[in-house]
Amino acid sequence: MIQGYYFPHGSSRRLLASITVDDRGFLRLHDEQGALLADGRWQQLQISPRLGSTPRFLDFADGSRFETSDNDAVDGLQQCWRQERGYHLLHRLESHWRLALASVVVVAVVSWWFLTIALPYAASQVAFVLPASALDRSAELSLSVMERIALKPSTLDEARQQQLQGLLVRLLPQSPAYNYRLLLRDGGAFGANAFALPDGTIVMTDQLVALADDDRQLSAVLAHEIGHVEARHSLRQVLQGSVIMVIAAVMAGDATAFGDLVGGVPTAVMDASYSRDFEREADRYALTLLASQGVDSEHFAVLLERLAASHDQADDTDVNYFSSHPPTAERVAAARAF
Amino acid sequence: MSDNATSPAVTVVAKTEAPIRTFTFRFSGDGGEFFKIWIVNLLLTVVTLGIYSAWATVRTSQYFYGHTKLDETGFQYLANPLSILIGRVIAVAIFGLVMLAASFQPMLYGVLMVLAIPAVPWLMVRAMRFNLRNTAYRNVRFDFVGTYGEAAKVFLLYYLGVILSLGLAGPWWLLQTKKFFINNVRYGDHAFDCSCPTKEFYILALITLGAIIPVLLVTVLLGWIPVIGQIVIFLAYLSIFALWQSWVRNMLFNHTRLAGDVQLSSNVTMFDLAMLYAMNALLVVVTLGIALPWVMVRTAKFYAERTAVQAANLDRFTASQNQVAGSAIGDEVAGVFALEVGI
Repeated sequence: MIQGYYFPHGSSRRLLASITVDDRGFLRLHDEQGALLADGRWQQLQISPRLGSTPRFLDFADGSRFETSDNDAVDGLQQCWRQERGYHLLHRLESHWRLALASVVVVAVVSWWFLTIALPYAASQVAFVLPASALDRSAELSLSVMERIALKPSTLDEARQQQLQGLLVRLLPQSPAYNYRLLLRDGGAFGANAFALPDGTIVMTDQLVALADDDRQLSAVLAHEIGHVEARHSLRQVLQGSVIMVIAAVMAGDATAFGDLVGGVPTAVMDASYSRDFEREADRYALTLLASQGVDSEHFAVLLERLAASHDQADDTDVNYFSSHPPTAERVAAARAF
Repeated sequence: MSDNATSPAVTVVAKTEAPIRTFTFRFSGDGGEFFKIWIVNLLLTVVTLGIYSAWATVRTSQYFYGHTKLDETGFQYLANPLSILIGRVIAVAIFGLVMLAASFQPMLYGVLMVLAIPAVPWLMVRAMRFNLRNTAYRNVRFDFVGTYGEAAKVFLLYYLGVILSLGLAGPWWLLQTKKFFINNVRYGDHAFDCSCPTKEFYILALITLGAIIPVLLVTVLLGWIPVIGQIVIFLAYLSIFALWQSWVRNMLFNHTRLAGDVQLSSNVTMFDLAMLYAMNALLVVVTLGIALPWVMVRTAKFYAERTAVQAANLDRFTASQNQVAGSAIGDEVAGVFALEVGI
């Protein structure tokens, strides 16, 4: 006998009731006084799946409903009269502590594998299938924004500018796939800096030029920026970042599972982590390219140290999970070990 | 509990003499039990590359609805996982394309963003409708009858008023949005009615603004102390947030009635809510998210214990005649764009 509440169709009226099922699967539902309220075959009921100790809802064909917390009795009858393999298996999965703890490990490992190996790999494959010009519009826009907020015309004289342009030309591949050009600018708020846009535009600031005491140090910077362009880092960052954003949005939108606890923090951490990986990749490209032209990797190390000193971040040896660059000490050590 | 009246005369007597009772909500779920459900949800979602997430959502909702009990009867979540999956696929596709457009076609992205503005009220209405139509209590479904026109008026036109008034109309507008959500909810054939006076929202806004001044002072005075200063500042801002959230909830519930005579009530205190938030944040951070199921359960318990209904009885509500389950598309698209539609 299953005790519970009976809700007749069409209103919120509630009656204490009980269900008995005979050995042919025929059920009778009686109220407290023993009056018969409903009957029928057990197989014809619509029964909500087992979910821990959550109450079960048994729906009759006429729209009336029976609610009970006697999950075991319902399960017993279900096994007897109807095989619902899927949800039965699911409930067994959901009731084992050892399985739950093993799941924590599996979820952690698979998530880590997806985020650090599968997604970056897939993004790099897709990035090289897309046309090289995919981000040209975006590059133009970024440059015009930066010219408006910080960059000013270079104050270097014409001869010096020609020398620097020559540095770039010597580093470029035989038949470049991108329209490489070097823009020299007064950095303004950016200070000593250099960056590459996905269309092959490399911007180097006067302040960075002043920081170097040997043009081979500037060649090292240009080689690093060419590395970003050749490996299509911007495009890969866009693709990886989009996937991360979509996952985060689904998780945040699914308020029942994650609430607003997720926020933007993991997204920012992942973006920064990908960015650090790209910096390391560009460093390796630069060191290989410099070695092929007989430039000592020490020049790269020296410039990194000077840059760090000029940005007053000499003590960034701790790994900062939001930082877009690896710690300078690590990069310098990698350059000297090359 | 059955007042199964057989003659009209008895019903009349019972109705006039029935004393008003207070029914408190109770959450009967258990953190450990839900943890096992939660981790299996995550496992199957990861293994099926996200497809199971629709079933995970339904199972999570069914757990929380079923264990939320009013007068010892649970609520019911009736959404079909398959319709949630379809909605989610569409939402992810749109969201992903918009994300990519932002990078590849910046101009197109700008156009899309402008076009998205009139879609926001539509998404909100659809999300509310989907969730409420798939919620039942005592075999009677809820519904949401707010229209796109009303939503557009409240969220676009009135919002314009807030901008033109330089924010002075802000508290009034906030109350209008809350009333739009509450007053369009139906339980069967019966309407909810929120009569919260605008004055109270302005008083609360003034008190909150007043409370921000000492918090700013604390920030300036203690901000330089490492760790301790930051913890104090975090708790100070948390308190302001808890002050606002608890007052708004209490005010809205305590001014809301169902079918004219069923009074809702809420008594969340600022201190309790701030403690809940602080403990939840601590638990999640210290355990790297493993404690999330316990956090969700204790949060549900917290709100249930502080929510009640005053009524003579809960037996008299009639179901609506023409109810159809809404499609999941509005809900899931709205969900993915992370729209807050909660009351």
